[in-house]
Amino acid sequence: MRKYRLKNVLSMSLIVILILVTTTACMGKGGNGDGGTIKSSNEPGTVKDSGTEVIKEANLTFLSAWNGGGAGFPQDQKDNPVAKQIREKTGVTLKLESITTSEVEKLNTIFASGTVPDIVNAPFWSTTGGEGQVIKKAAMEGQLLDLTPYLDKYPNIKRLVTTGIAKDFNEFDLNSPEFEGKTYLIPTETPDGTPESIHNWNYGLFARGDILEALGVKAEDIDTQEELYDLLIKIRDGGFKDIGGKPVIPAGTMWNGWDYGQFLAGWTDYNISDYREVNGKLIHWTQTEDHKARLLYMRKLLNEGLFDLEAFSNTSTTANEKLTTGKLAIFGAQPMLGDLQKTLYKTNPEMQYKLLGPFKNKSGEIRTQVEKPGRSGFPVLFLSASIKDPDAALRYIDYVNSEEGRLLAYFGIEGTHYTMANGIPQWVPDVKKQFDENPDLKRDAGLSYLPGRFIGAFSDSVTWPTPEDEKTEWQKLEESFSERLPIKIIDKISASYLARDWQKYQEFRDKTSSLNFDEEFKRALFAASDDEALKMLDNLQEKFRAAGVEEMAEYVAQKASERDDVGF
Amino acid sequence: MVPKGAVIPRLMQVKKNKRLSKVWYFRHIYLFLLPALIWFLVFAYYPMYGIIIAFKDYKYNLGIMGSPWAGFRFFEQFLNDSSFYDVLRNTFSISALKLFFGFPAPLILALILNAVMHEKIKRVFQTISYLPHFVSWVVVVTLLQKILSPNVGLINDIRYQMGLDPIFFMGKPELFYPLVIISDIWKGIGWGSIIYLAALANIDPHLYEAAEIDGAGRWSKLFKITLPSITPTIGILLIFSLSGILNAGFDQIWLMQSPATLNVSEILDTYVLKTGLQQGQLAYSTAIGLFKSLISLILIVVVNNISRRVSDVSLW
Repeated sequence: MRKYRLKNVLSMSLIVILILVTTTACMGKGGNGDGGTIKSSNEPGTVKDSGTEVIKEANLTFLSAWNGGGAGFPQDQKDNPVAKQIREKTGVTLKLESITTSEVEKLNTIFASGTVPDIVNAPFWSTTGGEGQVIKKAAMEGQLLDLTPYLDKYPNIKRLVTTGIAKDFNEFDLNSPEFEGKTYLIPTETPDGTPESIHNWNYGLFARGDILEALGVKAEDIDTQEELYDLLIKIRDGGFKDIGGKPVIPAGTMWNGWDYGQFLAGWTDYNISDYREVNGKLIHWTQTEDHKARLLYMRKLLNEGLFDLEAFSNTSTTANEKLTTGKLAIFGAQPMLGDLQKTLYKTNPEMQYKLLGPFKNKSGEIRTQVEKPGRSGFPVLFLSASIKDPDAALRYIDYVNSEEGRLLAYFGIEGTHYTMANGIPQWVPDVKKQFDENPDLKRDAGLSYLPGRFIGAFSDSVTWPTPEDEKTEWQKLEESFSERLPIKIIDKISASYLARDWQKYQEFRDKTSSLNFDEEFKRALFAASDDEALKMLDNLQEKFRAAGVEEMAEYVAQKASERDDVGF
Repeated sequence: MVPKGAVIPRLMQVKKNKRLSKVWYFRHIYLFLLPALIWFLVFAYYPMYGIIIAFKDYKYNLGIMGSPWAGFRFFEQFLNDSSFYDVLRNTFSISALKLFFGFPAPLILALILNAVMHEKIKRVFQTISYLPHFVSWVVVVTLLQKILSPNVGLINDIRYQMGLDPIFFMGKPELFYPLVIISDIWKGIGWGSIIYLAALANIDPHLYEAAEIDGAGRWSKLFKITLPSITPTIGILLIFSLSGILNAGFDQIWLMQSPATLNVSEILDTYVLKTGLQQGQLAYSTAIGLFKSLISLILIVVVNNISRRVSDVSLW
């Protein structure tokens, strides 16, 4: 009998365990995790007996929906000096999360599964494609919190949604007419409204200094496609090695081919719309003849062993490995100083990359960053429609965008990390030395995750210009690139927006929604022959023509001719 | 007097009671089925209602049931999609090649292992052949990339030392299928052989003894005893494989494909991911997924019926 009872108990226990294990997976709380939990029972604004205002505590989840966006996260997310200070001021603790995959995939996943974290920062380049299109759909379908009723309460956030944004982008994308007057998105990394605060991203081609020296080539002299090709041939045949003694790859990029377009800058037009004026006729960018030349040039580089064959399938890890071992003789992207200063530039300073050119396009214009007075496309913050405590999230964002919050985000704790002199923060010399030598220390102090993802309508370099004698070697190098890569401001409305009034615009969008020009172009790069590649390109362009792209361009040209504030 | 007709129900009742009492007697054993049943209900049957999305113009705020109906619009869209034939051709090609080369491989390994008389050697080989099954595709493909890379790969390093030009193995469309098949066999051959080894162990040894007395050789025993004895197992596994012919192997293909090989590597599963999660066309991607499931269902029914008619092997 006893044996039987024991058997019963053991069996039942085992079954209960098995059932618990099986069902645990279905009991997840979703993406919100413990987001929005409110620890204190005090309501915001309630007053203690002593007369001081009690701040309600809240734990919120934050997603940086950027591939590799976690690089700036401190190791101790909760108790780093900056996070502690923000908690004291706002009562909010953030649980930070990021991704190492595609941004669009992540956004679609969180919206489709209803697991939107409390606060999300994601790319928002346009509402007609990519991440912006996904965010717009989610906003219109009730996944994002309407911030309109809150804006008057949070003046710094209100400033962010109205400052440093291009007029047309603001009207048609950020506050799309389909939002019906509601505000869902908070721009970040935007300028403060002055031309000086527009950030120079320093896109270009960078070549290893020691290789250029060995070949007797001046970086500034390489500014055409032909000169680049000749240089790559010399590098390929020059027997140059990386730091491991293996042959270099003459040219390459970072992850997923970013940014191979720098190798084709000779065919780049520096404009603000999807349309080009060719021989007096307006054509959509997909229809330009330049694509043939671009395609054949890239194919030549790939076929002649001048370009990294794996560039388009590079992960961030493999790309970084190539970059930091000097494997790439020339790479196209931004200067990548954050990665290089800690690695290659420490071990092999002679290899320091130099900016080529800048390149000239076929009209003789040099590589230019085109901007409007205000930014078109930027990272945005949005809140989940199911956030439990939206005020906590907005309090956090508003605080870090206040003068005090920005000082905290960029310089840390006064007295510990910096001191004020004539209203300008000055790093404590020892701290600065440590941070310059090891940027990870700066990150772990909490000084790297806020500026890019939470702060907008602001430029630290304009507000707190670093004295020349305090600039690091890398700051000076970055600035030297900026001096050579001009910014052009075009104060016009992009012609692209005119197409939205075209009667068949939605039909065109539906027909081209599954066409990805860049992906198809990359496929053509690896076609068996030039003829086949050109045929693939022609087929692709034909698909856009069949969808009505020419008629759309005619409509845009006609509408643009009726007004004088439209730019191409 | 008991009416004539009442005998049968009573007998049935007795039988039923007997069955129930048998179930009750073995209740602890039956209870062990519960977690598996719950698992199936929660993870296999409950999510099935999501299939409805394929017929809906899905909106986040309206949910699956509240979204407006779209009929067969997304199925039509897929049939008219310019990628339709390429995707279908690639899926069938990869699956058929995997079936042709990959299906017999574990059987051959099992037969070889079965023929090894030395127990220790047999165990060592078995363990070595099982191990790749536990390595994820991420690791396998990364290893492949490292070995075959044109820049830092082992093979191309050797070619470089020999003064030969590097080859971009992973980027050559003509090499894509061989690499897929070889890596798939390498990873799955050991694990796949387990079922065959179990079936081989069940063959009555007296059959072999009798055959030896009759003067049968190694090949005769293989073709006259071994293979016929495990035919039901081979048949069942073949039916399963054929029904899953549209599962060309998402993880593996997704990780191995690149713009250079996209023409031959885009399969239904990768296309579903691209349309669903990359382009946000959730209803459309569900329709593609459902299309795939329906074809698989038809295949399993047809193959099972054929198998039942031509042999005794069938799933139901």
